[in-house]
Amino acid sequence: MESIARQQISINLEVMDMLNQQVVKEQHASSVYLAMASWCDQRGLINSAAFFYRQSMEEREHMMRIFKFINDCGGSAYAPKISDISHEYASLKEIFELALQQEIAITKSIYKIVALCRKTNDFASENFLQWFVKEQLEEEQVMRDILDIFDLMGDTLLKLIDERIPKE
Amino acid sequence: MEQLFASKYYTSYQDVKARCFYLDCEYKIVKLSFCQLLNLRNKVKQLSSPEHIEYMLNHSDVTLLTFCDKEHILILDTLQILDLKELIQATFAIMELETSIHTMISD
Repeated sequence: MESIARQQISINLEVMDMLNQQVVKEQHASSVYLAMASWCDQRGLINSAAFFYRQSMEEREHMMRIFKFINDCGGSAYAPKISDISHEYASLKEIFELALQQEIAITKSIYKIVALCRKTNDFASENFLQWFVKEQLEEEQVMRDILDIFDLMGDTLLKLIDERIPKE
Repeated sequence: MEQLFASKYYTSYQDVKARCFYLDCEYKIVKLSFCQLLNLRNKVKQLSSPEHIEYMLNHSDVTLLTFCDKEHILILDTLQILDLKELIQATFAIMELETSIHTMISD
C-alpha cells in the first residue's frame, strides 16, 4: 500500500514550495503592472494604460492557475502577501524596460522550477509548467517589440508612441 | 501506529489504515490529517525563518503556534521551534523515502 503522503499528494514537496513562491512572484508582477497602468492612466497614455491593465489581469490569471494546480494535486496553496510596490517611474520607456526585466525574471524562475521537476521526476508539474514556458516566450517578445517602437521612433511625441502600443 | 521520527521534544507517527498522523508533544498527542500536517510544515517554516528567530531572541523568546484549524495551540521557545522544524523535515523526508522504496519494490 502506498504511503499516506503519496495517497494525498501527486507532486513533489520541494516543487510545491517553489510553486508557492511562484504564486507570490506572479501576484507581485500583477501588482507592478497595476502600478504601471495607474502611472500611464494619470498621464493620458490610454493605450499603454489599457495594455498594463490587461497585463495585470494576465499575471493574476497565471497566479490563479498555479494556485489551483497546487490544491488540485493535493498540496497546500498559500495566498500571497504583496508589499513594496513602487509607483514612481522616470518615463514610459523606463516602464517598458522594467516590464521586460520583470518578464525575464519570471521566465528564469519558471525554468528553475522545471529543472527541479526534472531532478525530482515530478512529471506532472513539469507537464503543467510547459504552458508557462511557452507563455513566457510570448510575453518577452511582446515587451521587446514595444521597446523596438521606442528605438524606431526616437524623440517622437509620447502620444504617437502610445498610439502604437498593442491593443489586444 | 508507526513511528516516523523522534526529535528531542516531539515524536511523529503515522496510521496508514486511518490515513492520519499523530504528533506527540510530550504532554498531549495531536491527531492531524495530511493537509493539516502540510499547513503545520508551512507555519513552522515561517516561525523558524532567520528573521523570526532573531525577533524572538531580541524579545521574549516565546511564540504561539496554532495549528489543526486553530484546534491546538503550542507555546514555544526558540529551541522548541528549531526542534519542531527538525521533526517536520525528517517526517516528510522519511515519507518520501518510503514512497521511493515502495516504487522501487513495485517496479
